[in-house]
Amino acid sequence: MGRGRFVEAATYEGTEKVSGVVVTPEDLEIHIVARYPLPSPIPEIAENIRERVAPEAGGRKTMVVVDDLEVAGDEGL
Amino acid sequence: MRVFNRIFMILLFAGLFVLGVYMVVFAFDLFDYKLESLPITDYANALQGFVASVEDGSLSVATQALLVLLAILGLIWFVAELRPSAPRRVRMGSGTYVSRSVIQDQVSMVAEEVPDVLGSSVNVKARRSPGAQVSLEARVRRGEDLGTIKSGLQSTVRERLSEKGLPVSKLNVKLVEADPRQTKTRVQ
Repeated sequence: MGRGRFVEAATYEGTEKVSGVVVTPEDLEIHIVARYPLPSPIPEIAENIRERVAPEAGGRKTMVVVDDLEVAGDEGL
Repeated sequence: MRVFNRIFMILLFAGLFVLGVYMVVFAFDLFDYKLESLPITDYANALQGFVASVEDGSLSVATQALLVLLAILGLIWFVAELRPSAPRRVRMGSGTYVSRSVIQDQVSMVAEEVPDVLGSSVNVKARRSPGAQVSLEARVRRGEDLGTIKSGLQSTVRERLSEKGLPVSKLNVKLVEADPRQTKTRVQ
């Protein structure tokens, strides 16, 4: 999951924190980091995620944001 | 505009705060400052005279020019405020976005893989419509064939980004001749 760029992308519920997902009453933002080699073009990956998540979003406007592209091995950097 | 507005409002509120402090000090005659000592009547008379000359139409040319300038500045500010701010992320499709930094990194990576390019700097702007507006400045050696490098670079960047599905609606390439000793890469 992505963590946003300037402001941390996360949802807080009680003592629990879910990183990479921002839920508001109207919107749902999912932040992801894509990793090489890409199985399909980036818009397709994002659209697949959106299609899967949107039915569970309770009518919220669903957005998928690709925060970063990562090459395997970059994680520790 | 948001940053400008914030700075403006901070300065305005700071000014109002200082004026408020002065008002309290003068109103209660604190530290030997008295309200009567302020030249309020002079200002009031000057303002009255100015308003009267506006009504009479007897303003000097310089004052008229200043007022027109102020009106134009106000109009420009008003239009600038009405313009919607540029989106932060680049739109790919309906509900799917990519951060500008992703496109910036990819363009920079592809540009620096081109043999004639010694270094690059990339600026990405998001637009309301899908696709990013990319400005790429590439540094090349002096005496190279700039036209060929530019068209090659443009097509390479477009091709490589479209392979990954990263949307670029406008790509401006600017080549700058540079000394290889001062660039990121000396030899490709």
